[in-house]
Amino acid sequence: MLINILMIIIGIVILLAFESFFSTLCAFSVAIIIALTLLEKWDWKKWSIVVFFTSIFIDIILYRSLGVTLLSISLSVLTLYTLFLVIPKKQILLSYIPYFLSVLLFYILLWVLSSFLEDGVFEVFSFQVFLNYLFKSLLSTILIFVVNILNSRFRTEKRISI
Amino acid sequence: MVLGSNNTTKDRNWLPVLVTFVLSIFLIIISSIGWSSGLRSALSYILDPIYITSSNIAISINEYISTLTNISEFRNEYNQMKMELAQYKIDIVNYQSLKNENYDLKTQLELQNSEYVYVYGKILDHMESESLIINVGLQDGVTKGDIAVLGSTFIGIVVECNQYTSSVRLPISKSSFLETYIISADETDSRNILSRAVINGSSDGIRIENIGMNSGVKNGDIVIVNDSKVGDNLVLGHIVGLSEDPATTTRSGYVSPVIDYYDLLNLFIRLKDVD
Repeated sequence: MLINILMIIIGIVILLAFESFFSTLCAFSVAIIIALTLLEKWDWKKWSIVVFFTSIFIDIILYRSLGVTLLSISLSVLTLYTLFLVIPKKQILLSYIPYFLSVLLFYILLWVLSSFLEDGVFEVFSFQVFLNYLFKSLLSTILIFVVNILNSRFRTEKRISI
Repeated sequence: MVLGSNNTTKDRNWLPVLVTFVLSIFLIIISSIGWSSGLRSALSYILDPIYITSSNIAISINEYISTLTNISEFRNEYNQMKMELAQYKIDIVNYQSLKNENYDLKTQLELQNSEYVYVYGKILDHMESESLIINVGLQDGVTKGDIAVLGSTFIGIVVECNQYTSSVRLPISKSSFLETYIISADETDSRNILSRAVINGSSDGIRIENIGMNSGVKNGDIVIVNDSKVGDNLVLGHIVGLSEDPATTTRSGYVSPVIDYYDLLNLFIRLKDVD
């Protein structure tokens, strides 16, 4: 239990380092990829606690209003579940469309909510910004796909070794 | 039973959404009423080093990537700067040339004999180290036999004149023979003529001969050109390498010119015929 907690704390620190790094480099979010990847792999309580604290830390280090990241993650997860109601999970290519759309929504919400909660004004949403988010969402979806494949392979090997 | 368990799991799937949504609204409210500032400052004290380290690495990588992507632009800028640098170097050389010209003109104005008319000329070439080609000629009023001077220093005699250029024979030329006199360089001595002498060019330098044995001339004394071809007293240089042979009746040596002819850029031609 204690080891698990320590590992989670170290994991959060590493995640914060990566989030800061990619945020400075290209405004890319690693947190949403991790959150969506762990959504179905962890218990909901554990997931909620880790996401809650991580999002607070991200808001603090990136000077966002507290709760913006968590609200964006929450709404993008809501979108993901809603889309999974109409798109079957087992079809590989189709099942990643909800991931793509939920990550896209996450970026749009971050863009809109950050400025709205700080200044009370909605930021101008240009086509160039949208294209940028489309590209980032696509990249995030590919990464989620790769992580899921790697994870399933590790599990398979474990089963074989057992 | 199994179906019931699946339904429960599906219902619980929505719980993280609900929990995180409620918590986020709670956080937004806390943040908007300003209660989060204490928490923010306390946590930022711990978290800022992580952010700063990561951001610094990201900035370094970003700079490196932007340098790589803009390398063609940098190359163009570098070439442009090289051109500008070359232009500046040319300007500096021009400035140096103007400075020299200005200095020579000032010297000439201070020292010139007002009885004469001078033409300002630039040296185009040194011909076999014995004569100079200058950029003034017949069109500027220069004629054969005119004297090239710089201030009160003798440089040479114009021996050839074309329309736009002239040739000045230096004292170092083997064809150059001039009468001179020698005065003491010592400030305490009287400025009387110590001895008369003759100079002529040689492969070793400007040779000076026929110096009286008992004239008291010594190395460093000043040689003044005083020849009918020159028509005025003009400084040539200092005596060096004076012979010490007691068996001869005269002494000889060499003249070290006041001006280094190879470094000369400008000179003045003293016109013989003012009209």
